[in-house]
Amino acid sequence: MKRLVVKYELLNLRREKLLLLLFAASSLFAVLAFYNGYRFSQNQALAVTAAQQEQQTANNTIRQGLAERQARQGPLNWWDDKHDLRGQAFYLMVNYATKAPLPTAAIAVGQADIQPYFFRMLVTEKQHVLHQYDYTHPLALLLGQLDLAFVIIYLLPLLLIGACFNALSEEKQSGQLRIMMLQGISPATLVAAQILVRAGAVMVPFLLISNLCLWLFSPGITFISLLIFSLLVLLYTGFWLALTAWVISLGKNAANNAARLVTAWLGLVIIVPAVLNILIMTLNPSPSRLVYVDQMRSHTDKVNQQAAQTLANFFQDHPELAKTGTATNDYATSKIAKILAVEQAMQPFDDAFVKVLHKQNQQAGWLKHLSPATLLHAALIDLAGNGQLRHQAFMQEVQQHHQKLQTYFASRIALAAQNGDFAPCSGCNARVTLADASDIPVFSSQASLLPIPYGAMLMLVLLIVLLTFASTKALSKMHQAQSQTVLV
Amino acid sequence: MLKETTQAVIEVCELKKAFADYQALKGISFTVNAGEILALLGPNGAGKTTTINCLLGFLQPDSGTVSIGGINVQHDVVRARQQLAYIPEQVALYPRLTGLENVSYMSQIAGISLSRNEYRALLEKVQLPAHAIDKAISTYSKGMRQKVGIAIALAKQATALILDEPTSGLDPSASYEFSQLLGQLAGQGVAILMATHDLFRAQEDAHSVAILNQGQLVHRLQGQDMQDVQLESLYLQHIRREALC
Repeated sequence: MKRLVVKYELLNLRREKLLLLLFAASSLFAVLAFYNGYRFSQNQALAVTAAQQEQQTANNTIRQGLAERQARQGPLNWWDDKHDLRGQAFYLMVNYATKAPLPTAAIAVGQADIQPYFFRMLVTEKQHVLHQYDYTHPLALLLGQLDLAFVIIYLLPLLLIGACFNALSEEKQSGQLRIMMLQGISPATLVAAQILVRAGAVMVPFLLISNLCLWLFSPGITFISLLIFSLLVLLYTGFWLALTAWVISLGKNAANNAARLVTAWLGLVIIVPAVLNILIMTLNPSPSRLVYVDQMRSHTDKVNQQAAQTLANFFQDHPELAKTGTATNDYATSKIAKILAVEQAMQPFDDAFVKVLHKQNQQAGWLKHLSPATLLHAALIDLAGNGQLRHQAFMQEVQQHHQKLQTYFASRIALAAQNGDFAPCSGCNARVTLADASDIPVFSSQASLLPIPYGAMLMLVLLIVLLTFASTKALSKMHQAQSQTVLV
Repeated sequence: MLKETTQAVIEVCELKKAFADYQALKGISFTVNAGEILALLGPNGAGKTTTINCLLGFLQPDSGTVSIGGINVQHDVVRARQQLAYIPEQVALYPRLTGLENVSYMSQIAGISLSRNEYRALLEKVQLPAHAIDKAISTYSKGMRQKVGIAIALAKQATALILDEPTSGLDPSASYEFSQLLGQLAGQGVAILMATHDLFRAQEDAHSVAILNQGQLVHRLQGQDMQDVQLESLYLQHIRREALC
């Protein structure tokens, strides 16, 4: 029976030219959205590659220019000298911490358009490197680029509602339903077949094109990523179809169905995320950035004023670097000591930001379950590698890398100072203290495992089951005798 | 002529139905036998459509029973519906499908699977113009749609046919053709219940007439009585009397 209804529904939609329209709209959305997300991820990939190449070139230049530097007789400032540890540490070093886009990045730009994905590292206060942007929780960035995630979350439900809102109700209003029911069809069968055909016209081209584009243009993308992506899309659209079926099963007219469904869309996709944002921001306000900058300046001034004390504290903390008293007069060691002192003083302020962000994320993690839109958004940006999870991991890695660089340069600079490498004789250039940059720590990121959003999937399945159960029950009642809802 | 049989196909017994405080049906009873055409007459609001909706299983009677082919509609609506065909005032079909496709679709829903030529033959039998058979229903006149409705009933081989104002809005020629088709169906033993305002067609086509007013069956005519009476004056007499009361 269902196959028969599907066949004639297809024929009917084809004659209405609706099938072609849905097919075209869905295909166009898929291509546009993929292109936009892909272009964005490609730009990021190019920037990351360029940074890595620049780092490699700089290292090569150090190696290749070593002989010339050693032969050089004329005066050379250390801050212009590529072969001086101090010049490298504070000004010249080309050392990047990068977050390369994942092969799935084209699915959702997410927060990647505002969060930094590469840092040029120097031996300076980490606050100058890492904290140059405002933290914000994932839900705050729900509205974003026209990428696949945007089309899936915002536009597909509208297309599906537009295609399906009058299923059954049009037959009811025109009187066809009574004739069809007298012929023996059940309203549930009719609705299921109609929704299946109409949703198919939207979903089949969208999934085919988006998966094909991802597979063709995102080298390295795995089958499991595509499978998770498709499953998430199907479950999310399944929710909207189940909701549509449920609204239809209430037996109202088509206009009423449309009004209810659009209201549901507005509520779940626009209003709920906005309310959640306000709630999260109100409950967990971020510390003042102005206060932070003010504190940074104040601590820097204080450290500069107490330079001798700061250096003494540094050697107390690092006795291995204080073998001789000569180090105390070295500018570079003194600078590193000041950097560490400022970092230490600012740590409570950094922690305050991290704490708030942690709370915001925690609450967003729970509250996202209030709307399928926020649930799917979080799942898609995590899948794309452009969400908070991966970014936080990246920021931790950057911080660790920064520490490694500081340790590397602090110990070597102190040693070089003790050896008198920076001032071998009065008026002459410093000795070469960095002959090869290859042992400078290089940033490496642990490839994070693909997060499988079981929670989101389960939640969507649950909603679909509940709505399908409710609509099947209501439609079965309609099929029974004396169902006045069939009458117009 | 009424086929010589007394097998009751459509049975309505002490049917009562109220909508809130309004008593739409006050315990009406009638039967339609196989091969009989019963015209159900009455002014607007008399209860004709309510009676039909109870027979189709779309309304729950407050009391009384309705059955089709011996099957109680309240007890087994699916089986009862298998016995009947229904033609409303406006035959609602899929406007973008052709007449042939509509008959084929509706018949297959009812579990009747015929060849394309057999469906075409059915449409020819109900005198749908040959050039219209493969055209979209949206291009059809009301009379042509009624004929498609009859073809669907024919394909289903229903034992009972219920019509609600079938000739309303049809021109005399289309109305006449439609009457001929009803006569043919009755001749094949189909019990036909036709709610109508068209007294002329009722007198011409029906084997019996039931006049319904304010939810009550106020008069029933059948057999020889149909020939001897001026239906219009009888109808007006009953309706006016009730109005004066």
